Amino acid sequence: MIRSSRTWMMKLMGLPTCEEIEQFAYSYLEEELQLEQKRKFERHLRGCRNCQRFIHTYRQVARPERLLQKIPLDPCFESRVVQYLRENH
Amino acid sequence: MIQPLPEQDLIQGLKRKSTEAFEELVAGYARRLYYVSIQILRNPQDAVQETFLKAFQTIEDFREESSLYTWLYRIACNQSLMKLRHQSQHKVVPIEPYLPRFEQGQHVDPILDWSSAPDSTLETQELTDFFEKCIQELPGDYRLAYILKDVEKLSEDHVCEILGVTKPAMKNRVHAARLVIRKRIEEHVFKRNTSKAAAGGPTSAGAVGWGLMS
Repeated sequence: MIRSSRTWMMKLMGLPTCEEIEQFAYSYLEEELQLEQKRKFERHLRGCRNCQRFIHTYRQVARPERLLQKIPLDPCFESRVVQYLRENH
Repeated sequence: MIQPLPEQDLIQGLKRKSTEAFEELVAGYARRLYYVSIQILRNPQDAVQETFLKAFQTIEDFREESSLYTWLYRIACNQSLMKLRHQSQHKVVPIEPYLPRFEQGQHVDPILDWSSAPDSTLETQELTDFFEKCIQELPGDYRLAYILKDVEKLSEDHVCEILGVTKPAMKNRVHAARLVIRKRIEEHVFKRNTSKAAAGGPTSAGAVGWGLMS
């Protein structure tokens, strides 16, 4: 009941629902939304903690620098590839 | 300092089977291909070597409809995926169970914000390991789209060219991959914090916060 009334309120205010926030999350992060769409998207976010949490974590996955390991690479890697090519072609 | 050959000259050199051209190809691309392949395979060295061997053997077939880099990327991704399929222990998780559920336009399940930094270096390392596991367990099409777009930061056009798919298809795959990884990390952090709390230890305060009805 609470859910439906919140959705109804969002609709009444011309704002996207939580489901639409998920559907437009990609376009929002990639800056593809029109100015008016973006404004409505952000108004929804301001009033919905669940969607704020969703977008924070979705952004972390879309910009994963913090989650990626720094992988060291053998400085001789290129010469070993060249050696492999010489031996195998 | 020796200047690298322009791409057209490099391609012509490769087609003539010039050793210098192949050495330049390896010098210019080996590291980039290694880093893209390591997101698919834990040990990508063989896949990268075989990528260059395949490039060497099939350069005559390269019709120059894409850049050399795109062509090499495509070979590297295919070589890595092929190797991954041969690893019997390789697990793939289905997409569906990790997609968000809605009822009358609203989230059915509360959302956990795990985006703040973990408490310790050990937790950071553990989260990083789990994140890599999530990438490697995505179905192949989704994994590649995600790696190329979000990890390698290639442009949408470039990703579509490598995958040979339309832009909407590419976006759908990247979005679904993000949703699955997001949800899996959420479940993982929740489980970790629950066991820490049960053991009487402190949970990472910033990382626990259920959004019930807001």
